[in-house]
This record gives sequence, C-alpha cells and structure tokens, in this order.
Amino acid sequence: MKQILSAIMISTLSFSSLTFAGSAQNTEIQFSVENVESFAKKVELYAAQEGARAFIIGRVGRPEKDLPEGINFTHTAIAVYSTITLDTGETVKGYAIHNLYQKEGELDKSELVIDYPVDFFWGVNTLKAGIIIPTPEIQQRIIDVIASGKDKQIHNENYSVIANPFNNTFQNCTEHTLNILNAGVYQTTDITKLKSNTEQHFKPQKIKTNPFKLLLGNWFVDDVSTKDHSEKVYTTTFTTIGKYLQKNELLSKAVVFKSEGDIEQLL
Amino acid sequence: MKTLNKVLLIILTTTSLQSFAESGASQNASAASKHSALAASHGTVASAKLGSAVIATPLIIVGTIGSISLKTGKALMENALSTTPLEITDKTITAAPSPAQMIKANKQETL
Repeated sequence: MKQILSAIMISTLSFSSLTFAGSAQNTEIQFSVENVESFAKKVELYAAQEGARAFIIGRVGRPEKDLPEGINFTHTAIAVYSTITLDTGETVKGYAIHNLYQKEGELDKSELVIDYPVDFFWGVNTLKAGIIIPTPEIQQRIIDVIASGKDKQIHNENYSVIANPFNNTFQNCTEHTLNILNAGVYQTTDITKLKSNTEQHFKPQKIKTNPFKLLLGNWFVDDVSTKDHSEKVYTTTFTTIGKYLQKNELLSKAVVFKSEGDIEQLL
Repeated sequence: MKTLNKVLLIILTTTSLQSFAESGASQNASAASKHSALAASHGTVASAKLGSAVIATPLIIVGTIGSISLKTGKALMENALSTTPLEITDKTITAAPSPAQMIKANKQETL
C-alpha cells in the first residue's frame, strides 16, 4: 500500500508539468507595467522592421522549468498588421493579435478574441516572445483568412489543452493557429480536408508524460481530455508550426525575442 | 486506513489539479485594472500615449494574391509584399474592457 501511495504522490506532485498550454491571459502582472509595456512595443517594432504583415506569436505564461520537454511557449496566436481605430476616433497602425482563449469559468470552451501586444504579454512569466514570420505569400493568405472571417468557420469551441491536431474533436490555441495557416495554404475551410492534409504533412509534438497523470487529468480537469487520442498523445506547438513552415519552404524567419533585445534563432 | 488513503488521494489530486487548471485562467479578467495600471504608469500624459482599441482592420495589399500572381508572377508579388519596414504607432494600444470587466473593477475599487 505504501508503494501505491508513493506512486500516487509522485504522479500527482509532478502533475503540474502538464500545465504548458496557457490559452488564456493571466490575471496578474508579474513584471512592472513599464517593463511589460516596453517589451511589447519592442516586439511590435521588431516585427514591423522585418516587414511582417502577419506573424505567429508565442509567449511563456508559466515558469520555463515547469514546461515539459519540447514545449517552449504556452500560448500561440497570430499578429496581423492592422489599422486600429481608437475610442477617440483616431486611427493608428500596429499589430492586432488574433487569439483563441479559454472562456472564463468554462475552461473546456474557447472563444476568439482580438487583443494587442501589451494585453498579450501582460501576465507572462518570462519577457520572451516567439516570432515566426512566414513567407510574404503565406502572410497574405493568413490575412485573407482572418479578414474574410473564415477563421471563425474553422474554430471549434471544444477545448482541450492537449488537443490532437489530426482530428477536430477538440481544439487549442496552437491547433487553431495551424488551422488558419492551412486554410490559407489549401484555400479551404473544409475541416475534413484540413485535418487530412495535416495528418499527411504536419509533425506534432509528442507529450512525454506519465499516463497516470493524463488519466487523472482526463477525469478531473475540464480542459484536459485524452478522448481524441489513441495510445500516445501528440499536440501542436509553436515550434512544430515553425518546423512545418521550414520543411515546406514557407518560412522567412523564426526567432526568440528576449527582453534585452537579444534575438536567438528558434530553429 | 482505507479512508485515510482516500482522503490523501483526494487532497493530492485536488492540489495538483489546481496547478493544472491555472493554465485555464480567465481570458481578460483584469482588463479594467490593466487600464488603470497603464494609466497610472503614464501619469498626466496617459491620454497622449495610451489608446483603447475599438476595432482593428487587417491591412491587405491592394489586389488579391491570385490576381497579382496571374498578372505579374510570383517575384513581383513578393516584392510588393516583402520586407519593407512598417509604421507602428508609439501609443500603447489595449483591448477595451468588456462591460462585465468594468463593473467588476468598479466594485473592487469601492470595496
């Protein structure tokens, strides 16, 4: 019995390692307002300097030491260069970020929300941004999908943090991003076609974790489900999207932008 | 002993699940207080440097991909779309808080 209890304790204490996908905005700021504001503007200026009209953006919402192997970012979305109308009537130019966020108080459901860089980075654990800039043609195709509202057609509100990208049972923020990308590439919103193409060409991240932890998550946690997986669990990540674009020669740049302004190659 | 084990299991599971569920925090629960914090950090120049967004319209290059490709080929299309630096406002733009968030924040402030 002692052994069983030990196993349970070890499994449950390390259960938090599954908390990698933050399709939500943390409520508490963890840096000074000035630091977050300055960092968000630097990210925006970097992308603008690169001429990115649409890029994939990632953030780190949890301590990096807690992230499972292969997971570098906890939330992914698409930033689109836009004309932004303010409540004063003034119009300015900047990036609007198109997100899939979990609903407040209903974590197994999601909604599509537009926010802006300072909103996006408000509650991050590390001032670090993932930036994937697709080729100009793919950028334009992504913009076309979003501007025409087709991103809403490929949104599935049923949320699981470890959603399987090869079917449409559940969807998380990163899978939604991949759906938008592929809707642009294949010029379709037919989810069956999109999933078939994804299965043939996209290599997701295997989630290496204790099956017992997954079982507990499946039972007790609203936003975790293994129903859409067979034996092993695979999901979409920021980095696997970058690799997918790179492999198909659709990538211009994939970098990690840090608070000091340092830039590292992602791939 | 069996009861003790059950209690232990429930406690362990519950505590770990709370950590798990943190990934699913609310989308924008602190939006209203965020606006206050940003305004405070800017002091008296807040209105000049902060902007609350009403709507964002993606900027699309004139002409669709298809039409440009057909007329001028990929190279010209890429020239038209590629790496020219873009203008960015020096204002900090935020999503406007929803009515629910505003009311929640106002209640918290008056408590």
